[in-house]
Parts: sequence; C-alpha cells; structure tokens
Amino acid sequence: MSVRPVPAYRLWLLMLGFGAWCSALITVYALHSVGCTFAWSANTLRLCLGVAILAHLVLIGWLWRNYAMTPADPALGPTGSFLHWVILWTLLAAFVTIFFTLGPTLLLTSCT
Amino acid sequence: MNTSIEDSPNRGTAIGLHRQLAQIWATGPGLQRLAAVNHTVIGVRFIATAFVFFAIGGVLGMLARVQLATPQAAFMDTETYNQVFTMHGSMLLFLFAIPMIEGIAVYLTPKMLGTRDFAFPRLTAYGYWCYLFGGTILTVALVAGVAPNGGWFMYTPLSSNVYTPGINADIWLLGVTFVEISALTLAVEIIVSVLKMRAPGMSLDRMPIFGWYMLVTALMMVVAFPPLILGSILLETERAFGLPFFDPTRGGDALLWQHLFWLFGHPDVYIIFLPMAGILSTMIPVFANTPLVGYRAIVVAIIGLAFVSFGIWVHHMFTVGIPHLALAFFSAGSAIVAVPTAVQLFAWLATLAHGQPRWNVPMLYIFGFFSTFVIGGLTGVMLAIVPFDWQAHDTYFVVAHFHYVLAGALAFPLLGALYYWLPLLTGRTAVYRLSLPAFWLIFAGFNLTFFLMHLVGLLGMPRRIYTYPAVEGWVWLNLLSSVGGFIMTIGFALVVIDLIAQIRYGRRVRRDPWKAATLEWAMPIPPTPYAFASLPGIDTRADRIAVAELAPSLARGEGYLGFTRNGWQETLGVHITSGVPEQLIVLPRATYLPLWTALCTAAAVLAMLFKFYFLAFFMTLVVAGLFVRWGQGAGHSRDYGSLPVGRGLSLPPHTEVDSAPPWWALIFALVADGTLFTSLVFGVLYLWISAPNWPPAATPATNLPLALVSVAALFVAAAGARGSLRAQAGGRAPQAWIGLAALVLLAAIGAVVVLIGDVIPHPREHALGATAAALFGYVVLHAGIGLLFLLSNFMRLAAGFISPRRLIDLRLTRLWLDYTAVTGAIAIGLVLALPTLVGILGMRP
Repeated sequence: MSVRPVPAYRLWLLMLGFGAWCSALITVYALHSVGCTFAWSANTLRLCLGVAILAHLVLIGWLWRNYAMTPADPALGPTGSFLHWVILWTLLAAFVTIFFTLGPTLLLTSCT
Repeated sequence: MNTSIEDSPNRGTAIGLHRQLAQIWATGPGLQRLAAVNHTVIGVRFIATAFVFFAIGGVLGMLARVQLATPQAAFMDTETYNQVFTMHGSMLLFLFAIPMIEGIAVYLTPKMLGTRDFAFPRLTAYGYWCYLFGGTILTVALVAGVAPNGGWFMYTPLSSNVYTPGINADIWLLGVTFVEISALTLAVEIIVSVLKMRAPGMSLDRMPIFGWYMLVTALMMVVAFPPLILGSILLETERAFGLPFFDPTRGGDALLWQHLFWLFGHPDVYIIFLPMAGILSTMIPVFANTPLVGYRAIVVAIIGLAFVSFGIWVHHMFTVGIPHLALAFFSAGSAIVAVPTAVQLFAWLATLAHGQPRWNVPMLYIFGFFSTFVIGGLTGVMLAIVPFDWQAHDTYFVVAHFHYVLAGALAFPLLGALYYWLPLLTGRTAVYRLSLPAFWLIFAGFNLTFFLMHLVGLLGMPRRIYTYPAVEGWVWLNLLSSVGGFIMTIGFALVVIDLIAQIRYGRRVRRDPWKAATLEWAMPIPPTPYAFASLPGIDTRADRIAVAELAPSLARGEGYLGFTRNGWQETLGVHITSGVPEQLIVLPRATYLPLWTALCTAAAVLAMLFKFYFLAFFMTLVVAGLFVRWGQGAGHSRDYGSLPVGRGLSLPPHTEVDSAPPWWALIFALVADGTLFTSLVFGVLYLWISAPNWPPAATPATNLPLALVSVAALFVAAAGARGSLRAQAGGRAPQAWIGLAALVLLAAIGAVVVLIGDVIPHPREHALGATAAALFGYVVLHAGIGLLFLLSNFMRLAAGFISPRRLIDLRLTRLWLDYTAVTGAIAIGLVLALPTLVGILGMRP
C-alpha cells in the first residue's frame, strides 16, 4: 500500500490535550478571582468551578473516545500510527492531570 | 544573488566535491569572519561566549561565598554584594544557561537532522551579535560599579525608580531584553529548521529524539519569553516615563511583575532542562550499547512537561497572599510535573539496564546528573507543598534546591556533552589524565557547597543577606559551603586545562570515536562548513544509522545535492510530518548585515539607557531599514521551475512553493507576538480585578468614532494586502492595492496616535490610562511594521523578486496585516470596554 503523508495540521492535535488542561487552569483561576472579588457565595463559586472543570474533562473524554474508537489510518503509514499513539496518550495524560490538579481544590475553602 | 543557472550541476570526486562545496560555504579569513552566518561557526561562538560569561558568573559566585564564609565579614559592602549576587544569577541564567542551549542547538541540530544549515543563517548571526552586545552591556556595567542590584528577578517595587533610582535596574531591563531578542529569533529558527529542513525521508517518527527535545524547547521559548519581554518593557516605561503599571498608589500592582516574570521564569527551568535531557537521551544509548527505551513515551512526556511547566508559575508566589483554593491547584500542578520528568528518568535507567554500559568520562557526568537532579527534583516536590514552602521560602533551602536542579539539569549533562562531542568539534579524542580528578572535584565540591545550604536554610538563614550573626549552626555550615565552592572551582579549572590539553595533544580521530549511530558523526570531523557533501536519504530511525557505511557514501556525493550549482548554498526542505522532499532551499551567503543591524540595535538600546530618546527612535528606524534591506537580496529574481536535486528527483526552489520556511517563521513569530499581546491583555484584566486604587478618580473615556475609524482602517489595510495577492497571482499589477493598504495604515496610525493623546485618565496619573496607552501603542507598532512590509513589497516588485509563481512576500504581508487587524480590534475594543469594566467594579462589596 502506498503511504500518504500525514497532513501538517495534525501536529496541532499533539497540543490538544494539554491545551485543554491550560484552558481549564486559566478558566478556573480567572473564575476564582472574579468570584472572590465580587463576593460570590461559596456554593455559587464552587458550582462554577466544578462546571468549568467538568466541561474540560468531558471535552477531553470526548476527544479521547473519538481517537480511541478510530484506529490509526493505515494509509498514513508508521508516521500516522506514531502520531495517533502520541495524541491518544497526551489526551489521556491531560485528563488525569486536570482531574488531579483541579478536582480536589473544590473541597477547599473558597476565598481565604 | 546570481539569477543565471548552470545547465548541469558540477559533479566530481569526493575531494573535488569537498573543494567545490568548501569554496561556496566557507567563511572568509581575517575580518570576513565578522560576516560569518554558518551554523557551525556561530554555534561555536555561542558556546565559547557562554563559557566566558559562565566564568565571570562563577567568579561572582565565589566572591559571594568568600563574603559568606564567616559571620560579619567585611570583604564586601552591601551595595557591592547586591550587585555581585544579582549579576551572578542574571549572568548564569540569561548569559550562560539559555545561550548555551542555543549554542548547542545551533551547532548540533542541523548536523543531527542531516541538513547543511539552519533555515535563516543571517538571523542566527544576528541572534549571536545581540547576545554578545547585550551581555557586554551587562558586564561593562558590572565593571563600572553600576550593575543591577535588585536580585535576578528584579521584583517591583524594589526595582522601581523610587527605590532604585540609578541606571542599575535599567541596565538589567534593557540588557536582558536585548539578549531575549536573540533567544526568540533562535527559537523561531530552531522550530522552522526542525520542521522543514530534516534529511529526506526523516519523518517525525524517525527523527532523533534530540530533534523532538529541541522542537518542544523552542516552542516553549516562543511562548515563555514574551511575558518577560512585556514586563521589562512596562517596567522600563514606568521608570522612564512614569506610567504606573506596578505602582499601587496609582492603580498599578507590584504583583503583576511577579506574574509576568514567573510566567517566563518557571518554564525557563524546563527550557534549560529539556535540551540537556535531549543530550542525555542521545548519549545514554551510545554508552549503554542499546537503543533508547520508550521513545514514544518520552515524546508524550516532554509535551506534557512543556505544558505543565507553564501552568505552575504561581508556586514561586505562594507567600504573597493568594487564597488557599488557588494555592492548592498550583501546588498539585507543581507536584505532578515530577511525573513526566520521572518518565524520562526511568526511560534512561531502563536503557542502561537493557544494555551493557561502558564507563567513560561522559558517563561519569551522567551519573553526576542522576544523583544531583534527583535530589533537586525531590526538594522541588517538597517546595511544591504549600505549608513547607511557607517555612522554607526565601531561605537558603530554596537556593540549594535550584542549584541542585540547575546544576543537575545543566552543568553535569553539559560537561558530559562537552567530552562526548569534543572529538566532533576538534577532530581529536580526549586525554583523560585530568578528566577523572576534575569530575570528582566538581562532584564533591558541588555537593559540599549546596547540600549544606539545605541545612542552613532549614536552620532559618535567609537569602540575599551580606552578613549574618554567629548563630548556632550557621557558621560552620557556611564555612564548609565556601570551602566546597573552591573545591568545585578547582575542578572546573582542571576541566579547562584538560580541554586545552585535548585540543593540543589529543589523538587525531577520523570519525565516530564512540561508535554512535546519529547523523552528526557521518561527516568529516571537525565538520566542514557545508556539513554534508550530500544529504542522506533516511529509511530508518535516525539514531540507528550505520555511520561507517553512510559517511563515505555521502562524502562521494551519492546522496541528495551531491554537486554544486551556480555558486548556490543549497539544501532541501521537506514535508513537515513525512520528511518527503518538497523544495530546494537556497540559503544566503556570508554578509555583514547581521553585524551592522545588531550594532544599530545596541545603539538604540544604549540611547534608551542614557535617555537619548530621539536618538533611540532614530536608531530603531535605522534597524527597521536594515531589516528591509536584508529582504532585498533574498530569493530569486526569476522563475526556475523544478531543478534536479540528485537521485533522479527534481524540486522547485523554496521561492516557488507555498510552505517555504519564511511562511512558517512568520507563523511562529506571530505565536510569540500573540503571547505578548495576551500577556498585555492579562495585565489589563489583572489590574482591573486585583490592583488597589481602582476605579480611578477621572472617569475613563475614549473617542468612539475615531476608535471605530482606526479599526475599520486596519481591516481595509488587511483587505488591501489580500487584493494585492490576488492581483499578482492573477498576473495583474498589485501596486495599487499595496498603495491603498499603505495609505489606510498611515491613517490608522494617525488616528491611534490621537487616541493615545486623548486617553483619560492621563497615562501618568493612573494605571488604567497607562494600560490603554500600552494597548494603543501595540496597535501603532504593528501598523508601523505593516508599513515596512508594504515598502518591502514595493521594492521587491520593482526588482523583479515577486511574480505570479513567487508570492511569498505578498503572503507574508497578508498574514501580518490580518494579525494586525485582529489584535488591533481586540486592543481598541478592550480600551472601549474599560469604562464598563470600571463600572462593574462598583458592584464589589
């Protein structure tokens, strides 16, 4: 089988997982700052932060499911398989990172 | 550049080919050396210059240790000590660590990727001169006794002109920013070269792991440096013109500096670590006699590490009063960053376990790395835990931690790399009589110096004090630390003597003394200016090359481009992922332009330092003019179509393809620019929500119609650039479109300058006005650079460098003006939104 080059834009997918982690971190940090500045109630703030974290987890989970369910395109050869594997694992690692770094913070006091 | 073309390429024997290529690629003798743009020459200069600054910084460290060896020492006064420790940190981080990794990248990356040079050799040379001149400014200031004295991270308000009124802080802000220009240019260069200039067939999965490390590191640099550059510009603007970005009495916030600094500062640790990890991942398989274990896992780990390292900058600010919840996620992030680091460590250990390691001097330094870096990493995890950090913050425990991390991550792998690649550099193998005692002196001295700092830190000794009382326990620990420092220095001196001995008396070696399997050994050593006589075709992983068979074949010209043509410096450009060759890249020859441009940049910096602002503005214009001049000779003034490149393949020159290196370079330059812009927007919003003394007394207001006209003009200019591209592609004259774009850009600049003049509150009275002026200034600067793009288009059209096949100039202009329009709309929109944002602040309890 002849091998097609992997399109260059696929490289951006390497950043997808941890890009989502960055987005989650910035969103949570910004929401927290705004909430504390404007004295949102602890429950409202916690809910907003929880929704933000959950939304990012769902996003990564959805991306991971799409990738995991679709095997690497054989027409893209070993390079395609390599990138597929790396993208899959960066998504998985980013999911764990969001869960570990942001999740437990919801249990803490909000603005003190 | 010559526009004629020879009918058939010149082929010859290996010796004949060498002579022909050397004539084209070699740097001239005497003063012509100043015109060098070759990566081998510039790489060696970077490395040598970095070692000079390492020596100066090391001596400063020793002076500090002499002062601290005994309590109440009178060796230095407070002011001298402040300058000494500030310059020790600044030199070793900004003038040694980062330039050293750049030098290694410049020297090694093209060779390991199987290409003849970097994508933009003149930019490499400009980067080097900027580094040299910036470092010289800082060094001269040290000799003159006006060196920076506020600590290597220049915290405000100490560094504001109220508390540091001289030029000491200005020297740091301008000198370091100057050096960072060098870092950014090289980062863009490394990215484009790794992505586009690998050997034919070297797909991403075949790239040596060093290539991945350099790619990720350079991408990190592109995103990490802009926040500090922005912070330095804002602080210098505050010091020079009184705009109060960091002054809490006028709506600024000193903590904004800390955010901007550590947004750079924390990733910087990994920017230093990752290239060294790349070196370790290259050396360990050679000495273990087995391929690297976990190539794919390492790629995942370094991508994760790169991102997470950005997200934990606040762990340097645990004591500034941030709420517990926010502390917690930065703490968790700081702990989890150990995981991708550990993946690499275990991959190296597994490689050693799988193979049959042979002990040699580079391996000793690898051992030194493992032991020191693991200690530094573990104390890092300790400091990531907030309650412990609160206890240890600003004590010698932190000093010990980051010396373990930086020396573990940088010094030991670097010295190992030096011994490993010195045969490549000099063509001689080592004389090891001094190497072993040198290593053990460095290792023992290092641990004696810095391990004891953990203890004295835990006993409560704070950083940055120039004398201390004879407190129980501090005295002998400090004395032993100082003794250790001298032992380490003797070790480094032995390394220098050893290296000189090797260069002078080492046994000559032809190639590949370590039996390595990477491409840099498949060339004559020491390397020729053209690196490879012909370019290899890669059909396996590029760290498993049969060097002994490949090298003679390449020397005989049996690879790609095994001939000379038309006096051109030729190499190949490939598809980003697959490595399929797609363009013939013709590189520029040696020129003095980078030197002149860097000299003029230095003149602009010095004029700013001594507050000759009109001269600084004039020199900036000269620099801009020189950059336009750079572009005038680039590329070809006629279409060539496909040209033979060897092995039966023909390719178009890079001027006639869509994905030429300049296109990618501008994309990544805009990523850096966009990061700076995002940092500016962050700064505005941060001050809005966190700074004291908001809202300002005067109600903010902006001339709405004029603001809308400015935005409209920016978009019309972008449309004009698109029109010029369409016209040229369709074979019509694009000058009218270019003229239209230039006119509306001028109108936009005029309108925004008027808006700056009308900012309420006045930029000197309140940070709100200052941030509005900064946002407007950003728009003016980019529109001005857009004018330079258009001017260059006019000139190159007239000279015949642009045709319907050669559209890269017009495409670059379109991209720049699109970016200018979008960021301009956001910047002006944010200023228009400020009154509303200030109104919302009234809802605070």
